[in-house]
Formats: sequence, C-alpha cells, structure tokens
Amino acid sequence: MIVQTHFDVNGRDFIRTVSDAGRYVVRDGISYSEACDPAEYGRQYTEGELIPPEEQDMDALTAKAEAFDILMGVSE
Amino acid sequence: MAVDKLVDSTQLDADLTSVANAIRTKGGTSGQLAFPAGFVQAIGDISTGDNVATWDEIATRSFREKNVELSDAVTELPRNLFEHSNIQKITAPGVTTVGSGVFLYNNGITVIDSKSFPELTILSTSCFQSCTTITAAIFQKVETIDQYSFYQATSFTALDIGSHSSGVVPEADNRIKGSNVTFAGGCKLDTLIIRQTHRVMDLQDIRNFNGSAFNDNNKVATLYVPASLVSEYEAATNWSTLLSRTNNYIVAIEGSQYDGYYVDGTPIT
Repeated sequence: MIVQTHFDVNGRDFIRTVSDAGRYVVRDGISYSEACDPAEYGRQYTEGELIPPEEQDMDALTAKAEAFDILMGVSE
Repeated sequence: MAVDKLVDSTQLDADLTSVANAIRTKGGTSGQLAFPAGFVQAIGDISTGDNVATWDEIATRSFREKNVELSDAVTELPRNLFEHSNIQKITAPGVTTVGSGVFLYNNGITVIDSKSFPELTILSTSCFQSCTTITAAIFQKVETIDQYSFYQATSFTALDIGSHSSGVVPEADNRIKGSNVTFAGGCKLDTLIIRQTHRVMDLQDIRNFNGSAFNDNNKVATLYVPASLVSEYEAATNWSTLLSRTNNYIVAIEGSQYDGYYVDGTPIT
C-alpha cells in the first residue's frame, strides 16, 4: 500500500511517498525507493517491484543484523 | 591472457637517476646531463613486451605499483580488481564498464581526472566504497551512479559525471541508484556536477545523500546542471526537496566542459 506523509522543509510543505510492502513507488515509469515532492504538485504513485534486499534501508538492515547477533549471543 | 602493462613511476625515476649517476661517474662530472636529440623517442620505441601482464598479475602488482596505464583495447575491468590496492593513478582510456568494488578499500587514489576513465558510463556498485583517499572524480560520460559507489569514501567532496553519451545505458538507468547509501557513510560530497542536457537525472532516494553536505544545514552544497534544466531540477522528485534545504544551491553550468572546476586551487582537466 502506498503511504504518504507530510513534512516541512524551510516552511514549504512536502510529501514523502513510500510503499509499506517494501516496493518501489512508481510515477511516469520511474521507480523510487522513496519519493519526496512539493505538496502542491499533488503527484501520485503506484507500487512497483519489490526493492531488492541490497537496496533496502541500511539502518533497518543494520538493526536486523544487530538483533540477530543479540539473539545468537554474539553481542548484548 | 595478456591485457596490458603497469608502470611504476617511482621505480622508473629511481632507475633513471641511477643511470644518470653512472654516466656522471664515467665522465668525471657532477653536472647536468644533456641527452642527445632523439633519445626520448628511442626510449619510447623500446618494446614493452616484458610489461605485459594478466589480470591476476595486475591485481597482485597493484599492491606496490603507484601508476596503472591501460591501452585503448581494454574495455572492462573485473570486479574487485584493485580492492585494497595502493595505486594512486589510473589511466584507462578504453574502459566503458568496471565491475563492482573495483577500487573498494583502495588507499592511494586522490583524484580521478577526466583522462582516467573518459568512456566510462556506469559507476558500478561499491566502485569507490571505503576508498578513503579519493577527494574528487571527473568523468565524461557517466549516466548511472550505482548504490554504495562512494559509501564511506570519507574524503570525497566533488563529483563531475560529465555529459550524456551515446545512449548506451537504458533511459531507466539514467539515475542515482540506492536507498540511503550512495553518498552516505561519511562521504563529504558538497559538489555535484551533472552536465547531461537531454533530461533530469533521476534520484531514486534522497537519503542517498545522508551525512553529506547536501544533508547538512550547516554546510554549503552545490548542484551544477545545464541552464536549460535548472527549473526542471528544482521541480523534480527528490531533487526539489534536496534543493529546498538550507545552504543547498543549484547553479547553471557556464563555459565549456570541465571549465571552472578546481580542487585546492588547481584546475583539474
């Protein structure tokens, strides 16, 4: 499912568009893992292919790796 | 497979000095030597057969060589070829593609100038990842910047990808790939020059600039693009957000290709 959230940059309203299913978001044939646009443009996206694991958020992957290490007793 | 030669300029200089000293000793002089006309040409005509090397030999020698020169015939560099190497300079006039991690963990290159890879179209995954000495890179025909390409390149500040080439790269790949890794991990990018005039280069994810000057309100970062595309970049997905941040600027390129770009006051050509 497409998820859109508003955020502010120097007083200007922007919309961040992502997929909650780990897919690219697509507009005009172009794929984004995260798309940020000025809110006034009203750009709409559809879900595309799954984002390969190697292209996923590094912070999330690092957190997963750390959690795995803790579970395996490698670190605390 | 014989592919090309390596030149160790440091060793070459030492060898030539030794030869010159021997000549001075024979002649009973310590003065400046004057080589006869044609001497340099004669040296240049000497066969380089002894320097022909395989990829394995090149990879092995790259741990002690400082300068790699490849002929026009070499069009591709295998993945991880110079990983953990110490080479400082490379000239690869015919190379159009490089494998992933080709300079991963290199600890010697400071600048890739416009003559290093004039035909390269894709900056492959992790190509300069964790290369801690590189400060700037100039290319002429790059159309794709793949993920991790400058991740943890902690001295890297400036990238010029040149202008659009012959359309070798599919239009859909004319972009900066990756989710939050391409210029992140301590990369200090503050100057990005995109010279292609046919379209806006897509930015797959704004977080690719995490940690760089483009994502730091206290540091100035500048995107240079052709004047005809300035307004399109200002409205483009992700670029528009990046350019709205404090101290981020977009500037129209002026002059001919590679004019006006300097590192520490020295023009790079």
